[in-house]
Amino acid sequence: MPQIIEVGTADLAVAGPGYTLTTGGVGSCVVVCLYDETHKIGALCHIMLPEHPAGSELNPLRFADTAIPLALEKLAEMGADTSQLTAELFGGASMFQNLGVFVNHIGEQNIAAVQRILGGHNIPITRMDVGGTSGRSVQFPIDAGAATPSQAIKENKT
Amino acid sequence: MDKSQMLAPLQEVATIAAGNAATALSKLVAQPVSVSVPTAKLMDIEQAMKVLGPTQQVTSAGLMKLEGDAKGLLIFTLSPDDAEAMAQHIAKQHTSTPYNDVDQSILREVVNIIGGAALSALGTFLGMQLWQSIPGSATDMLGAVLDPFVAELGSSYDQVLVLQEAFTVTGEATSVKMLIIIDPPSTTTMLQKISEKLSGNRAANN
Repeated sequence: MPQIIEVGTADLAVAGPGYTLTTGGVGSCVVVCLYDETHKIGALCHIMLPEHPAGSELNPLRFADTAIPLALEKLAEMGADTSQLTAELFGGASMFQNLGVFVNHIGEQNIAAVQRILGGHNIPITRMDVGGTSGRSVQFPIDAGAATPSQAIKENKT
Repeated sequence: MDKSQMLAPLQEVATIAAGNAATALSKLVAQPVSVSVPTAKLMDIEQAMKVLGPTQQVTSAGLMKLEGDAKGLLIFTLSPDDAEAMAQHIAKQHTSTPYNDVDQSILREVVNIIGGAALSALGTFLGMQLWQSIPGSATDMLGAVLDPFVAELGSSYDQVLVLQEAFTVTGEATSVKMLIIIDPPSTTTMLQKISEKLSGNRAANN
């Protein structure tokens, strides 16, 4: 049985074989799973917002542009080759279509920011299951090298 | 003054909001409503997302932004079964699933009414203009439903004030949890207003 590491919102974890990284209740947040197939090391980041406001001391793991570099550092520390990584993205839903601009578009903005940042690090995205109106949970068994999303509610009527 | 002492007057504020919200809910369902002891705590926004239950738990939620002289969020959550029971009770009509549009619009109306009652009591007590945005509602995993609302606060703040209370409709045995989240500048304003009020009372008593 793999050991399970549960990753909270605005957090990340890095693990090797024998571990499964999981996170749940992902709405407009984006989950980025990074994987180095050669060394069988993976990371899961649960990101809430696109950009860390310049000069602020807010939790860096909450923001795509500060969380992803931190994940890369941790992967390198664990012995991963960060030039060989691939990425999978999950989440970025619009949970409340009837509401204002911020609430409606934060999911899309998160996805765009993550794509841009991964592009900047030359990390190819091998799979995206994003958007829609429902929340997701993500399981990332490191041995399998691929993550699986699941949904509790298929069509979230708001 | 340590933080728990500083928060004591806010506990009082939470009690006032809870009392008025409970009365509004009781009128709405025409049943007695009991209220838990309200709490006022400072916590990280990631922590605040967990106080209503496990992030993967499927929950019916109504959410509004707090606007005016204080900024923050009002969040109400129920189990989907309780949301359906309450909607049925209010609509006096059969609804077969908690995911249909009728239930969601009833849920929005309920949170609009009890949220408005909580805010009007708070506003009157503090001498502040407070109102709520149009409510949003959803039934899905708790974390997913909270995400976009909490994210907006998380773009500017780490630590927020969280007022938490729970209501139980005695006859129906349905319960509603309420969370009022206040951003740091508004928390400071509220504490100032309370201290002005207390010194005003003291002057009046002398």
